[in-house]
Amino acid sequence: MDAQDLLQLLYNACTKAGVDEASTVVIEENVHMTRFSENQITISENWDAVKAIAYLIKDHKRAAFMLEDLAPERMHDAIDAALAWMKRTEKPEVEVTLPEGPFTYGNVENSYDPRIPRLDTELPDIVDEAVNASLSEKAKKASGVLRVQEHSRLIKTSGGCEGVERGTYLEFTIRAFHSDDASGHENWCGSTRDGFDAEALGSTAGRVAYQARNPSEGKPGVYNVILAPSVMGNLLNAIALSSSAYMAEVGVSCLGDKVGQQVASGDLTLIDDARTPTSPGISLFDDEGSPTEPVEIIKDGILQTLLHSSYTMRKRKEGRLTGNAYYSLFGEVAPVPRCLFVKPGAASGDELVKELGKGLYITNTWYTRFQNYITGDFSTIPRDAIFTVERGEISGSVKGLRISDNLLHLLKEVRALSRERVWRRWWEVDTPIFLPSFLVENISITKSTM
Amino acid sequence: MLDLVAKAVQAAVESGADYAEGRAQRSLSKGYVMKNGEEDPLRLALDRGISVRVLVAGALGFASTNKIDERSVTGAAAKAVKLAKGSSAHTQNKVVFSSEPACRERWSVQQKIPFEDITLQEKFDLLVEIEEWIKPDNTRATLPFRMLVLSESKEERVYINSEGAQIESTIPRLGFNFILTASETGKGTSQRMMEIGHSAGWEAAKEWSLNELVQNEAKVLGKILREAEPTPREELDMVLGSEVVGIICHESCGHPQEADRILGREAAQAGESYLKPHMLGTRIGSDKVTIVDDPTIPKSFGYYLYDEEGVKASPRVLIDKGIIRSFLHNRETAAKLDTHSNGAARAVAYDKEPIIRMANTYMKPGDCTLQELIEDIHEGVYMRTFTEWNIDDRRYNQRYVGLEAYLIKNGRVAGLVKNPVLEITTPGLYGSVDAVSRNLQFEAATCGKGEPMQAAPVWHGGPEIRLRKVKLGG
Repeated sequence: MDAQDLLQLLYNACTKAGVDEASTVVIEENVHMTRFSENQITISENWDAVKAIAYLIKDHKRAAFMLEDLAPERMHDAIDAALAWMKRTEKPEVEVTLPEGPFTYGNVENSYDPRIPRLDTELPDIVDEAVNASLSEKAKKASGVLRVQEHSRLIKTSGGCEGVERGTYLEFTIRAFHSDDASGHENWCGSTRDGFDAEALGSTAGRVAYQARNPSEGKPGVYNVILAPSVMGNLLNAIALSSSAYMAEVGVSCLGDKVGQQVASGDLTLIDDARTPTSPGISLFDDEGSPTEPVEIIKDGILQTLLHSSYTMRKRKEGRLTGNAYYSLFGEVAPVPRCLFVKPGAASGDELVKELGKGLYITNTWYTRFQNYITGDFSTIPRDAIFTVERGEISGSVKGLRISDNLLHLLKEVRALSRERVWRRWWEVDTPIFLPSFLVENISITKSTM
Repeated sequence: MLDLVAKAVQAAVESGADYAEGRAQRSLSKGYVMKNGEEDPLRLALDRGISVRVLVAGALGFASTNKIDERSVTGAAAKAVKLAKGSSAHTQNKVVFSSEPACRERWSVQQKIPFEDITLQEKFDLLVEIEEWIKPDNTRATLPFRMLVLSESKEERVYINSEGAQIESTIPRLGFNFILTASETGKGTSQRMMEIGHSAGWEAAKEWSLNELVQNEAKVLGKILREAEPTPREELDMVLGSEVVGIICHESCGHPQEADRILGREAAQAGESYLKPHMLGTRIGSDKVTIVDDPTIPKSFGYYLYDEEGVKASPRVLIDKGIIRSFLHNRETAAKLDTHSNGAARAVAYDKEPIIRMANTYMKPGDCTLQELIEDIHEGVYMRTFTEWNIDDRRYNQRYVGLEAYLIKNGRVAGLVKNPVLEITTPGLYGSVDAVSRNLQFEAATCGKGEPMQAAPVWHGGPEIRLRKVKLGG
């Protein structure tokens, strides 16, 4: 059965079961991934999967499910379970309906690059190029992952929405080590092969690893810092997720009650846009059928809006639909960001270091955790090079430090951004983001006391 | 599914695999959610698929599909072989699997009260009742944000390899987690997240006393906002509650003793380890510290009897009286370190490769009471639960921020203190343990590792422990 037939089958089964409204989505993915570590390939993998999603509404009661078990009887089991749940539950206060279509979804240029699926047999050679480039910069070893995929996504809703989108995706991560405590990390992603240079990425990771060699123990204190794109990509993912009205409803957002307020320095503008050509998060419509459109989440430091689904918009009596409602990690159709962009600054990377004068240049972090999601108190741990900067130049490297601060405080202390931007999407950055480096003042840095 | 998996393995061998294994998994998961007193939509997911992993000329290949027909699964087998062949020239240090018995077994966890026998109404009634118990009149806490999630799942798995192993299993899991936010005018907010889980049927829910548990946590949040004082910064003694000890055992013992991290395989994602292969036998903590990972604890969230490479599971002593005693192994790392697998290979779904994971990691209890740990402290802090935590990717520098935490004065628990921060190295922590209580408790958690990410159900736990001469940070 092809994807279109499966979509029609699911749609018919849902609508004939007696729901008032239904949105049905089918996703086909074919993914190749090559993982490498210690300078050689550890495993090559392929996933060939078809997934079906249904979002059902009856008497304004909602239920959603995802099927990777495509046996027809299982489809009916899922619909029956959803109906049983809706039959039992009380009519909700919020009268939710799906968006009324049809809509014209249009196209985004370069969302599908036929060269990417053909790379499947070339992945080992590309990995070798990157690893060798790292080693030639005096790294001792390199690890990472190269992923290519093609996918299609189809939708049919009772609101009259029908659409098909097709895309490709390439993602590469390399982490080079000069020693256990001196490493550099590089990352790239996009919907086309254009601009992807594994050798250059490997070379940069290796160079950073070598430059970070022999780090001394860092000292705790309050620092002015440059936070590289990998760091801010991770933190701005947390901010973008905080802008989901779903997160605000659950109380795990530091932005929930701050629409219209200054939540960051005037230097920060954060946009969610699933329609920029060649970008890695291209999507034409969400799982409710709404067309995607660019959303300014934060403009000049002011929170413009939360991201909404049909439910959260009616529940909170605010906002509008911007194509951000997807079946997500929450297990329901909820608003999430798709592809993030940060407006660049004016400084070059070197000028940013000069402007910093004295402080730390933190190239990557991981394991960001919140003490309180509403206040934004958090910590995150640098995991690759941390450079010291003195008199506007890199003067050495340190280790053993942790950023322990408040996310809203950090955003308000942004003083400058670089004009160069790069893509980030890897293990610690879920939503792809195109962003510069940030100069941030007065950041609390802690370390182990014993 | 058994026949199709066997055909996939056979197809892989016929395509040139030196070794092949096939796995099929069918799973059903449901989530019942109460958000701020209102029912959220039912969460429902059904998965079914088959994967094949092969070794060809010392290289690993893996392919999966959820198209359940002979052509698709044998196609996946051929694809796995092709991928491995393509990688073999790029794999200088050839992958070899340790020699293990080819087990044939069928095991399952029996539900005394099957989920299916419980009505939807009963399941939601449980959540509605908790909502009642945590109302301000019952807790002295105002909770503007409340999310209660009851989840149930059932996984049926088939495993066959080309050496003759065949394992079939069925495992049900019941879980409950919540997020509570307390708010008090002029005092701000305080948040609590917690997870409970068993590999069992509905009978587990009857043992949990959820009303009392969640109500108590809500009361504590309110008290923290009203009463917590700043934490002292001078050197002092600490008592850590079993919830804190559990996360410590997981983060700074279980993870760094995963042999794939030690050998660098996870370097670009979950990271490496401060440990090296030659460090078996090294002292890392006091002789009070013994930490075990045991998949075979009945009803545990991380329960299994055979791993996803068909190896029989057994308890693993990771740290024995302060000495690094063993690492967690799959067949690949075991061969590299010239030992045998101890059955730590897990895969969370049909389309994920088996990788080294913890199951149920805990510190062995001692013989003290909690009171005995505390009465010997002149000035200290008792951190019963935690909120923010993290650890570096070599598992050396870690941080645990207390949520429910008390001052200890002259051998007695005094008032609440606000968010004490324990920021400490792994040897610094384990080396400071001078006493361990007899009260073993476990919490459920979902552990993330691998690429693509695999979120595995685990337990971690331990008794209360006492640390001497600790300097709090933050």
